[in-house]
Amino acid sequence: MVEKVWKSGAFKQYLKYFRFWFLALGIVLILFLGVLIAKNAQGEKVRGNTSAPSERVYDYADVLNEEEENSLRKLIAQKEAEIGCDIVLVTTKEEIGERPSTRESVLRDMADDFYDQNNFGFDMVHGDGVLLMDNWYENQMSTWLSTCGAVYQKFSNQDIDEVLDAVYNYIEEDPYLAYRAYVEVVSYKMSGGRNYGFSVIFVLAIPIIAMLAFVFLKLQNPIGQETVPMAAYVAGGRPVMRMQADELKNKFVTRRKIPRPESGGGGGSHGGGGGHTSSSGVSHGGGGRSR
Amino acid sequence: MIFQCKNCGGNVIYSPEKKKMYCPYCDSLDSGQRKDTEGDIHICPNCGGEVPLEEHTSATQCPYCDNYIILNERVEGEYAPDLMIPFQYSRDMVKKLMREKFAKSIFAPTDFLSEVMLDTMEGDYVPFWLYDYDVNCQYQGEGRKVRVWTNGDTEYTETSIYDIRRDMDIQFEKIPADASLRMPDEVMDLMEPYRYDQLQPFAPEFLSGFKGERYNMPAEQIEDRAQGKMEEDTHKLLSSTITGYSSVLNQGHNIRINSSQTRYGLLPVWVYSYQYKDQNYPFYINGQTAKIVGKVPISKAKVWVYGATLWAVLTAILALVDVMLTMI
Repeated sequence: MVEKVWKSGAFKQYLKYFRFWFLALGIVLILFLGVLIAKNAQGEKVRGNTSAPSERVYDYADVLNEEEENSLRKLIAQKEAEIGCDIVLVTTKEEIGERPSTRESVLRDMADDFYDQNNFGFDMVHGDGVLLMDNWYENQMSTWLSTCGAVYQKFSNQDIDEVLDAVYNYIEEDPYLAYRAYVEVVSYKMSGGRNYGFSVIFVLAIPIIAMLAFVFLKLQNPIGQETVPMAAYVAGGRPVMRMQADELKNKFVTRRKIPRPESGGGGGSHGGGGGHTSSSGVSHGGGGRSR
Repeated sequence: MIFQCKNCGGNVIYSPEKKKMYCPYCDSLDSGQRKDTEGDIHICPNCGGEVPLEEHTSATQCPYCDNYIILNERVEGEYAPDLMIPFQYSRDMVKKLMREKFAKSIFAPTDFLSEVMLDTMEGDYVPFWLYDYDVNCQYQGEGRKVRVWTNGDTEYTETSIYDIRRDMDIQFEKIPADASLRMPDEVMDLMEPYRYDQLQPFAPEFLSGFKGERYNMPAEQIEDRAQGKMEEDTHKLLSSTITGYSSVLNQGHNIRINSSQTRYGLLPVWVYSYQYKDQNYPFYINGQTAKIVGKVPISKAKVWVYGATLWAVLTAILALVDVMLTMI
């Protein structure tokens, strides 16, 4: 059977028909392998900043036990190497004001300053990194996520909200789990998180639609086209007009008021969520929440 | 009758390429001599073999000696055609055109354009009735023209109503309708148009080398087909004179045939009968203009294999690009 198909030249025709498609697939495959190799060769990202402390977990509010802190440090070290961003956690117990909005802005400055003064940043001082500051003072509990460098570039307000959502899912019952979620969600988002990819539906649906359209078109089988011109059998190619009259009988005008259209608007943005500049002049992004 | 070469005695046929009688045996041109025979029309005048004939066959090929035989009594007297268009395209020319046209039909079976299969093509002179009509068409209708403009926040609509009258004479010449039961009517309609400038008086020489039929039925029996075409064309011509209106209301029209005439003609058609999976795929090629009418057999399995390949390749490309994008 295979030999028969080969001999009839059908396979050659098949290859010829799809040559550009196969070529495109080949190119994409090579690109993909290239990206894969580059990604592997990079392996663990190389740290470019040696001025920052090695500590990442500052539990000033003392909400974590020793074991939990160590476990978080281990997780952060692993994720930092993968995504190439510093991940810092600070818990505090400071009086920062009664009103949630005041608290969040105070916390924002504290978080930014903590990041800046400790020279955090994976690639360089004040480079890529993220810091979560969580205040545990009675009735003044607030959280601020400060982003910097690559994280600032990549995180939209929605991304920041999703990180805070993950933290607030657990914060009341188990702070340790909440902070783990913080590290996990940040690193997931920084390692891709589908920010640039297509939707799964797109990847699945487009080829199926293309295939069905192709099959439908190719199964069409027209017998032939009508090609007789209108006056093919008319002597002289056109009729002899004995009378051709178009007389105006009547004319009238109607009028109507045009209703005014209503106006509308809207917009959207991506990345650089909550952008501002800290007291030391470093660009940070971020967002906060209170409980 | 048969046409015999006066040089070698071979069967002389009409060559569309050379536009002359031609002897394929000794390459002589215009060397044909008409040889009439009397007696049983089923007997080949060349070899005496028994030739199978259908009821309306007027020209055919002897299955034993391959001579082309023309049956006198079916092309003479009441069956003598008034007019004909000789074949302008030979078998080889049509084969070439078929190959060009269907070269890209990759879903056709592999032997569809093979030499062996294409050689089975037959040149057929198809009997046609040609109808002339002298027609008068009168029409009355009401047309509306609408003009809309705005001034400030007011929209004005001006409607003008016209009285439309038409009175025209149309002379239809030689509307064709095939008088052959073997040929499907809708396909013969698609064979049109023939170029009538090449119509010429009937001569039996042109039949040599081809097959042919006498008319299968009298002109009156199929006249409604010609009248249908005439009325359709009249309506089209009429509407082409009524333009510029946003809507037209027909208030009455009348088509009157003042006089009519019919003539009997033979028009050339190449027929290629291809069979695929127990189904017939007949192809008809206008022997004068080479217009091709027919459905290409399609291997559904092949189409699905190609479709599936397209799907697989596209999915792979999209998925790979997707993964790459998430890795960046």
